[in-house]
Amino acid sequence: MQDIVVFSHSRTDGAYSSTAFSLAKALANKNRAFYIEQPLTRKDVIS
Amino acid sequence: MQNRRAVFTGKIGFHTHGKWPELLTVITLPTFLPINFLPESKLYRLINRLNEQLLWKALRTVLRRYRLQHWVFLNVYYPYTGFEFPEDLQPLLKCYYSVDDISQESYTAKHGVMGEKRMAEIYDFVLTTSKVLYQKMIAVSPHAYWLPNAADVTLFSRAAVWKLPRPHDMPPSDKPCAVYIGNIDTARNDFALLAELASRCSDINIVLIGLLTSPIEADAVGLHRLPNVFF
Repeated sequence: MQDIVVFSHSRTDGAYSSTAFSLAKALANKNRAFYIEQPLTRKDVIS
Repeated sequence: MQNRRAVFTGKIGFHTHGKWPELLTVITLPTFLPINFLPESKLYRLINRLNEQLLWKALRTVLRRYRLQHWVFLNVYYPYTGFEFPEDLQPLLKCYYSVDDISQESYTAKHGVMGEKRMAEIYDFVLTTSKVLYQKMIAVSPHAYWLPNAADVTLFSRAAVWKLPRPHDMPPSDKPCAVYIGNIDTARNDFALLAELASRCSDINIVLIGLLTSPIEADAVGLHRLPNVFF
């Protein structure tokens, strides 16, 4: 089992489906996976 | 939305979910300072380093909280942050994954083109989703590999194997049907062209399946009012 940190351009609550998150989920079937979501600015959060 | 609220607290958020694999933890960073409007400059790099500190802080917290010792870092298409890792944050391997042509959209191209090149140079290896992206990356990194997107074959082959019921919101089958599946937005679709096509080809039905994320633009060209366009 490997520890893998994924830093992604997409979010788990975004409007678009995400290949990055799908990949993280697949990796987490046999590894510890940490998925760092795309950083947001305050403007992103409000809009 | 829960994750979005968490970023306002200024704290690093940790999330698990019953629908996700047990070994998966989602991490939400505090808000970054918006800097994409700035040109490439000392000021841009200075503020970007401040944003980068938030990533390093999150990584330190993950390493400490989950006792990570030997870990792999995979950056999926975020070539703006995460360049020079601090001494106490050294993964076994650093991988950059190029999933799209970053130069094709002005917003991402502005800092993404240079960031991607730099990342390919300093990371251990690069993955790409297409052969075109592979050709672009192999010119920068000798360790570039083509890793195409996967598909759930069992899910997608059902229509070929099973006789599935016709969805109730599909138009009648008396005309040929042109189907688009994907996000219905202006980044991927030319709505004016689509409206013109639907007007000229009234003998076919056009079915758009997906999330309508540009409803105002679609309405502006009258897509909703065309009798042979279905959402």
